[in-house]
Amino acid sequence: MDFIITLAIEFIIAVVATLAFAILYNVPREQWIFGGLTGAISWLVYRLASIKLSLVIATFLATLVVVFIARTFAVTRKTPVIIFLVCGIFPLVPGVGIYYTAYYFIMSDFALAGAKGTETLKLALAIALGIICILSLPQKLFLLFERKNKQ
Amino acid sequence: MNSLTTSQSNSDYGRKILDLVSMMGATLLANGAEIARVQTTMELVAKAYDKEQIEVYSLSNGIFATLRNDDKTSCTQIKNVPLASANLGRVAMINQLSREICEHKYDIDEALKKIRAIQNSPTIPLWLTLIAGALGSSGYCYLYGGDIFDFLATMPIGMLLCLCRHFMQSARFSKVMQNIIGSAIVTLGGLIMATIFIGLDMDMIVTGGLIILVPGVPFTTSIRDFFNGDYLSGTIRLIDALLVAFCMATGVGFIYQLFVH
Repeated sequence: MDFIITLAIEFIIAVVATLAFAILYNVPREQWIFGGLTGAISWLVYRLASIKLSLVIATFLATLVVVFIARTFAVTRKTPVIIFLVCGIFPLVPGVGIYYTAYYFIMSDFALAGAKGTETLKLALAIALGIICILSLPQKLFLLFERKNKQ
Repeated sequence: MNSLTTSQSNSDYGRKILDLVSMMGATLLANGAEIARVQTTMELVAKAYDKEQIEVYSLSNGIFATLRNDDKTSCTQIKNVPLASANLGRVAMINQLSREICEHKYDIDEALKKIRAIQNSPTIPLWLTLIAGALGSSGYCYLYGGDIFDFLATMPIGMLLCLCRHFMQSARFSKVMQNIIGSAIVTLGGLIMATIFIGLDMDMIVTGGLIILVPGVPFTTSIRDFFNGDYLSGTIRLIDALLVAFCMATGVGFIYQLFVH
């Protein structure tokens, strides 16, 4: 139960934080809340998946889900997919990894610096692979959502 | 004589369309759209004005376009598009404009007016940037494992970073320096916060602040360019993203070397 409450709080914070990033990138006002939602969903999937799985796999799974949602939003809201894609990817991008790599490198702990650097690279590759997987799905699949929306 | 004037107006018309099309392409490209979108948008818009014979070649930082008129004259434009920070709102606006042009809503002069308006469209006001910077960085600080005090401590740092970035952008600092100075400011801010208020987790504060600098747009665009087979443009964007990451690391490292090591 405690865990659910924690997740709910994190979800709300993720919505707000991603929404803030949407504003920083000048995303149009009508899309703010959808950008925020995409980011929060990606964080939620990542958190749930990382309980059992490794960080890389969890990032990969979250990317799969979030790119799918981004493409759906792009079709239903008639907006370039990049807007939702960037919002959704932000919680997963390994900014922390860059920081720790630099930190250990300066502290002359080269083993840890190497480990963190490789992990950062792995996470970036996982995101790249996830994006590519969902981009390969045919556009027709997403047009189905659009028709459903109109009826 | 008569035929000369029609051919003149024909090529003038063609030139105007090429102007419009390459302006649209350049705006898309400068604000983070991928190559395939730039090229299809340019071709579709030219087609909507009955100019089917257009060739577009685009890289991450340049556009080459040639348009052939019916009277066998042709015009060419080369546009240099420096890598800039992304304004996703403009991508959305161009997308909307090209959709409306394809529905034949505007004639060429109206469309030219529209694209100029988009190029000069206002960015978000500074106060909103500061609030967004504070909320964004502190939100991610919390998500990455900070507690409520770290959350509060990150807010002024995110705000300070956005303020400094705003001034560095208007003073036309190079992108490399912007990122190094930005990440140094965040690290120094985190260090000061953690020294004044005992018990704060400095790592969390700094990572929360740094997330503002993370190159999310170039990274995703690079992947999509690679996916579409535009390897050269994908590489340019990837180098852009990597360079930002290196600059961030340099800024962090610089402060640690000075004050901690």
